[in-house]
Amino acid sequence: MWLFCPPGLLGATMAFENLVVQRVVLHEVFKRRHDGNLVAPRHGSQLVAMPADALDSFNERVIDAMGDNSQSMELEIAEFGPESAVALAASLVGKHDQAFITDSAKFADKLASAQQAKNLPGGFVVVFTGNVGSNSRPFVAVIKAEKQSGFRERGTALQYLTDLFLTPASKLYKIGFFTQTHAGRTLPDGWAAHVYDSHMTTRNREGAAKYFYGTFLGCSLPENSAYLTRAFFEHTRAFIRDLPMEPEKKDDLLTSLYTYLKVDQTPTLQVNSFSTAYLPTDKQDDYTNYMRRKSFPLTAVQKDIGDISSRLRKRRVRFSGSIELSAPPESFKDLITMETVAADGAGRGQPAEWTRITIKDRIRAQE
Amino acid sequence: MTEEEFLERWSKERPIVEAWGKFVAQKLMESISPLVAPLSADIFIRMPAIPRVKGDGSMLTKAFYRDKGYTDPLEEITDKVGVRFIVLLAKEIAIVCRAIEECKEWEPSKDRDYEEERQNAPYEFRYQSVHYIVRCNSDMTVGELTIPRGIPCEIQVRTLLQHAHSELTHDTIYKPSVIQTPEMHRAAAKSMALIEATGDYFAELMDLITRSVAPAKELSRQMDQLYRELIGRSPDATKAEALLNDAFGEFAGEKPVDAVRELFLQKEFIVGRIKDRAVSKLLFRQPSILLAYVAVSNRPHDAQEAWPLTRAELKPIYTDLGLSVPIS
Repeated sequence: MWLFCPPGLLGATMAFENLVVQRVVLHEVFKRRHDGNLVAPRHGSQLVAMPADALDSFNERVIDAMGDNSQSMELEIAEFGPESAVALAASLVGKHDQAFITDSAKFADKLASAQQAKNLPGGFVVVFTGNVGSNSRPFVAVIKAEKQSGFRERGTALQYLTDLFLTPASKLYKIGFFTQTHAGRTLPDGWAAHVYDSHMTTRNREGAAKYFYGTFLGCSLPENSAYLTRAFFEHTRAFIRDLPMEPEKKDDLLTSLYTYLKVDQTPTLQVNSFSTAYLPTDKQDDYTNYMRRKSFPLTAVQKDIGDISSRLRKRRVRFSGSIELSAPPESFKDLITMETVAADGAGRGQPAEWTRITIKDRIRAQE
Repeated sequence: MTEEEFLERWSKERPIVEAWGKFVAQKLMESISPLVAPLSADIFIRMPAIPRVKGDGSMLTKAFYRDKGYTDPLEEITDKVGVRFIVLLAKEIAIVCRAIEECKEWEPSKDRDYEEERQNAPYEFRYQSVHYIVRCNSDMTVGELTIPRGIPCEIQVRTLLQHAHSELTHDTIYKPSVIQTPEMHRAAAKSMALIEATGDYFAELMDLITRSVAPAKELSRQMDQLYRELIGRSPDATKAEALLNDAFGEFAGEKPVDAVRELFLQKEFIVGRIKDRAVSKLLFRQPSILLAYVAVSNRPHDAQEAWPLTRAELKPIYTDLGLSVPIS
């Protein structure tokens, strides 16, 4: 995985900084007919000219979807044959405008045939290229943007518009983003793929998302997800343990970590979503920076608790005298409270603080 | 000389006197400018310095009815045209005086100095102002007019408070038309005493403010220099500079200049982004926009919390750095 040994991408480097969009072309795909037959896509015939403020907003939409702290995911490139999406992307780099316009239409054709299900909506296919990163690497990206409707004021009347797209409503677009990390290598080497699709981070994503990242873009979920999930668990736990706060609060945060990984049904995990949901406001940047220093991705990661399931099954709290309190994280969250209290009448050499444990239940069984 | 003869001569001289007054006012504003930068002279001088030419009536009164003992009144009256420079604090008067005295176009003479008057009469509280007469050094052509050497213009320099007092009292008490009573004198002296005390409090307050904003000002000065060096254009500091400085100053740590340099070394592209945006966006012409990039880069979440205006304004910085806004 290049994310872990990224030449020039270590430390504070952000993968999507310095985004410069150079060429944009617009095609359109349509919903399938009732009989399931494909409707031929409409191919754009020229580059889209954008004034500075429109280009700014376009960049913002892309970064909101792809950048650090976003819900995009780095995927593995699974298909890289001559007809694959990555091969098409690679072929567009450095192509002159007319050939770029013509060849980029293949993305629209590819997406149209990938959309097998009859219920999938049509939309604009925005193919754009440029450079990204502090070292200005070439990229080729594709947006599928569904059309929205809205109103525009016209004096006393309202104009009803049905062809808006790329509004801030990010649920209505998906992005596939291929970055050339190293020039002159044999595919799939030298290329990285990032995908943003709101369906990937919601439950039941298989059907809804796979046609885009899989069938269309030829990508697959990374195989190191279990490793990454474990790294997330261990780094986050270490971060919480080192926080300068009272034991009860840390305890709550550790419970949150178990909950986030095990109880929460989101199929992905992400540094920012954990921190905004559970960490105190003033610790969120510390956490992000900590994870960044550990080279943990700040975009979304496929959640796979395979490597840590036994550790997540039961949470344990240990005391001296072989005393151990163990319970599933759900029970820790719902039924157990632990407080540190001043040791009232502790003898010499005994700890000055005791722990009061409340279990919201009577004793069910004893051995 | 009869009044008619006097008026005839005066009406010929008036345009020249008027032109000289305009010249003096404009020249003096120009000379004050560098002495008060980065503050603009238009703000430092609290009321527009508009030259005023004496009306015919008051010229006649002064020449013939005030028992001034003139032999050639038109030559000897020195305030045929006057211009007033009003400042906020007493200590700022010295700056205007310096500009008057250093100007090479005229010969200044100090006619009246309230500080000297205070020294001489410590128990009196009366009209306070600094008056200069400035006379043209050599014949000068302005437009189609020739201003002869020696033409006078009176310049009054005072604070807003002194000006308020003078507006209230000057046209009544110090003119013989109104009967002066001891009560009137006493009331005027009381208010002048209060004004002098208030002036001192103003100065004290300004000192406190200056001391408390000194670190922020120093930071802005450093960023100003750095902005010129890194971005290669001059910034255009407005109130937004103070907002940025206030919000993001502490994100750059003990050595803000080093922090900015380090970031810009790592991410050279930021220079281009600021340059492009500076053309159309005021925020990107503020020196402390450099600090905003440091803040967003190091602590994106806290930076967003620290910014007092809307988040949309910071959005381009996040986008440049490849960061989704943490909370939208």
